[in-house]
Amino acid sequence: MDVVLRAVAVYLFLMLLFRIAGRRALMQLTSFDLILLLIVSEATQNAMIGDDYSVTNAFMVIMTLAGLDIAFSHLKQRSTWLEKWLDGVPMIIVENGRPLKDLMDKARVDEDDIMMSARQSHGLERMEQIKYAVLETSGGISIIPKSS
Amino acid sequence: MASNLIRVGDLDINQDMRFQRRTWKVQRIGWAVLAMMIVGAASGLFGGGPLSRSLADDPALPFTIEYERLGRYHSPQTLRLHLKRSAVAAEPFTVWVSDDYAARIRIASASPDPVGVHLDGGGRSYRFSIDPSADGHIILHFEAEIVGLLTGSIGHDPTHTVRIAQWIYP
Repeated sequence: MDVVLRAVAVYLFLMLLFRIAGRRALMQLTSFDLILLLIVSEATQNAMIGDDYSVTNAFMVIMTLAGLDIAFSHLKQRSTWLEKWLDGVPMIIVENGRPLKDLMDKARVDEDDIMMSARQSHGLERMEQIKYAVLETSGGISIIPKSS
Repeated sequence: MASNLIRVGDLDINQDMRFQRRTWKVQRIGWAVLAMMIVGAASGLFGGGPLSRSLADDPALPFTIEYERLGRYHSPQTLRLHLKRSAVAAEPFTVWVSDDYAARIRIASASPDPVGVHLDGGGRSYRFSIDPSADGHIILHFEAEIVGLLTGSIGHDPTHTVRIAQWIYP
């Protein structure tokens, strides 16, 4: 009982916290961010398992987390409203080679991020070659190049 | 998933700028709350800081109790009994803790160690060997074993006590 409640509390807290932090928080993963993630996982581990190091306890934590994930994926499939609040919505940040600065600033994305994605995904050289850049719900940037 | 696609230019996409702007507003509020929580945590809102420290005193008691009114479940806490020198007269010195408090905490250690413990009058009497001329305090290191309101009475004996209340976070 106790361990299930702990796992549920940690799951919901992390979901809320990372939603508040914003989607770019995890996609611009520097080596320091990676260390930060490891520290977060270390801190949450203790809160979830307490001082019970049994295999059964670990199984209960893992089952609860997996169960919550499945439950939320089902709920999101049934409710567009919930899906929007939990995952966010994609947003066009470049339209016909023109960066939409206001939206980019609010989403904490700059032109360097867009050009990095453009180079990596399509080998593009200039902003004008981009037809659309979309900030996805995952935090990644999708690039649709102009047809030559 | 319920399809929510709209056509924006040549793109089929479930972009929703009204919702996006609302999300940003909620996020800004969330950042402010987060900042306040961090400042609060540093100040002892969740235990272990100036906001949390509290004193309980009664002129009839031979000690003042310093404790944390905000604590955390299974987290180390300290309860200090500051002895009033004039009041420490007889050996052994007794500290009585009511059962409603004692049964909900786990005492990890006491300094000095009690020379004896016995149950009486709905509580436990801890007897300490203390030099009457010494100016000092008794320290109890313990962990709360419940979540929520932890209340109890602490005194010299069951008839002279002071009530303390702690909020224990999960």
